Amino acid sequence: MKCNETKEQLYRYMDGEMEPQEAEAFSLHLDECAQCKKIYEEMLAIQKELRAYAEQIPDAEIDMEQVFLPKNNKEKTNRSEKSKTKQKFLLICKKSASYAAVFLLGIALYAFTSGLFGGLKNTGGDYRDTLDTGGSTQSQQDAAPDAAKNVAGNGEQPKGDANKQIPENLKLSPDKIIYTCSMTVEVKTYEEARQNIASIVAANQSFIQSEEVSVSEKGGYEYYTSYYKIRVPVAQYALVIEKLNELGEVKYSVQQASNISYEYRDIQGNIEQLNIQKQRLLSLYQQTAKVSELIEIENELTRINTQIKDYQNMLINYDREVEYSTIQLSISERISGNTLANPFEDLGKRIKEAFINSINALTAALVFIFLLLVKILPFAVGAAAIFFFVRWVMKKRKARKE
Amino acid sequence: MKRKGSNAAISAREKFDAFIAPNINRLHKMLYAYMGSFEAAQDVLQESLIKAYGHIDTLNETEKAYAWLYVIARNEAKRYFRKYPIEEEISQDFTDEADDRFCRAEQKQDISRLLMCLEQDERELIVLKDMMDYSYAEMAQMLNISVSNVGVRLSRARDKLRKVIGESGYMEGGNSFEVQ
Repeated sequence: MKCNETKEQLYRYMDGEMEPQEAEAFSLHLDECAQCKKIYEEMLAIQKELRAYAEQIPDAEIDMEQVFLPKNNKEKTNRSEKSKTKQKFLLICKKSASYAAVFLLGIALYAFTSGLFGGLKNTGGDYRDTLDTGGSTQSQQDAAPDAAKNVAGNGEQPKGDANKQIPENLKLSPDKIIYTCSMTVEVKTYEEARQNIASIVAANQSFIQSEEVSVSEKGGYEYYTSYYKIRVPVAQYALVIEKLNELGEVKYSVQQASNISYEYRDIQGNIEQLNIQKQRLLSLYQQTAKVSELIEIENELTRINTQIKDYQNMLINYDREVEYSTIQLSISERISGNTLANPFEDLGKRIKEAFINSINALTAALVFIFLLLVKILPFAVGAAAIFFFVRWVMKKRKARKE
Repeated sequence: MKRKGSNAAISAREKFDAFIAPNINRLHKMLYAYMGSFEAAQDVLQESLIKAYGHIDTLNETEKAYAWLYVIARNEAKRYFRKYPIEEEISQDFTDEADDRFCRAEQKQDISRLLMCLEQDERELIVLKDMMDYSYAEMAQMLNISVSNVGVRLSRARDKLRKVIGESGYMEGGNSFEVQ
């Protein structure tokens, strides 16, 4: 006979966990079903054995004093607290590890974006981005007006008699600085730009030293290009550059300031020396009567005079350079070109360049991080020493307590 | 407020003596059967009582003190097993291989040994019901499971026990149980 009741029900019946009605029904089934009856009796027998086993288990031997020992309890709780603090410490470690990772990443990014990447860009070859170095040129530009004032104040000096000016010049020793700038501007309309340049030049006591006009091709486009060499009084230099920047889109700009004070003073010293020699020759000239000697002295005097003249000319040239800064300006207007530039042009080359660039940047960042770690190392050693010392002290204290 | 104050005024010791102490012997029996060793049961019981006394202030429903204490002891026992996992190997060996040294069919066995042939969870249920005779509702509380779940698990554990005992030829009268 097949039994439909589950063993779970059988056990529930056995354990008295059934509702009275259900139990009644099951007891009827149990009388009929030999299979269930057998399991039921088996289980009852096992249960009896188990209860007997439970009975014979000896009583516990508990050291109740240990249980109620306040120190014991405290120690227990302390221990659990300790493990909690340990867990907390681990948690903090885990958290701070992620912070440290982010910090390192930040450093790497910083290294990427600032110095290192900038440096790579310069070697990377996209020269149109040289404007990024605006920081340094800016400072030069700022310095220019001050220096310009200096020079403008003494501007007229060296043109007069060099003999008298030399000692004063040596005392004052103003810096002789030559400012030059070269810039490329892409303009909207070429003619308008030319007129603007002319008016800027006229308004600032400047002059155009040379102008060159041509049609050039670059990057698949054709350009009208005009190359100017403009000379600007040093006082107006900064202002003119500012105005020229407004002509259009500045594609390239480099400013330089070269200090020629040493060369200038060398020449002044040479002139002084030659003048002293000249004075001596003149006094000799008056003392001698021999014609041959006179001729010889005269020749020497002529030579010295020419040399002095040469040096003075050099000084004048220098002064002009200092007084009038040079701006090399090229303006261009796009006149034709393939508006549908092929984006895949030089793709391989560009991929290669990009790859090399990123590898370089990665290497540089790694080197940077390595250097940083090396820098941190002494502090880390110190921190480790302190850590171990503190731990040692704590251990000792703990041992003493126990 | 005053009542609460007076409740709190009961010392930890009084609370322990009133609600925990009466359960100690029963707990010891359970641990002994569950762990299969007097020393292990002793260790776990001692630790459990220390812990119970230390945390006696968290015992709120005093009428369920037996369950509260059992939960503590259960955790301690599990920790003990984690520390000394010998016992577990025995029971696992049996479930994998029939000719285990403790559970071999020909060998005459002690019932406590046979109990150890069950998985920890199964043995726990047998101990609670067939040895200590807790109701399903009480067991549900102690094991933190539902009453119907107690029924299902107990049924499974008993089937396994019947099988183990049947194979061992333990029950006198010679004729072993029929396994279904």
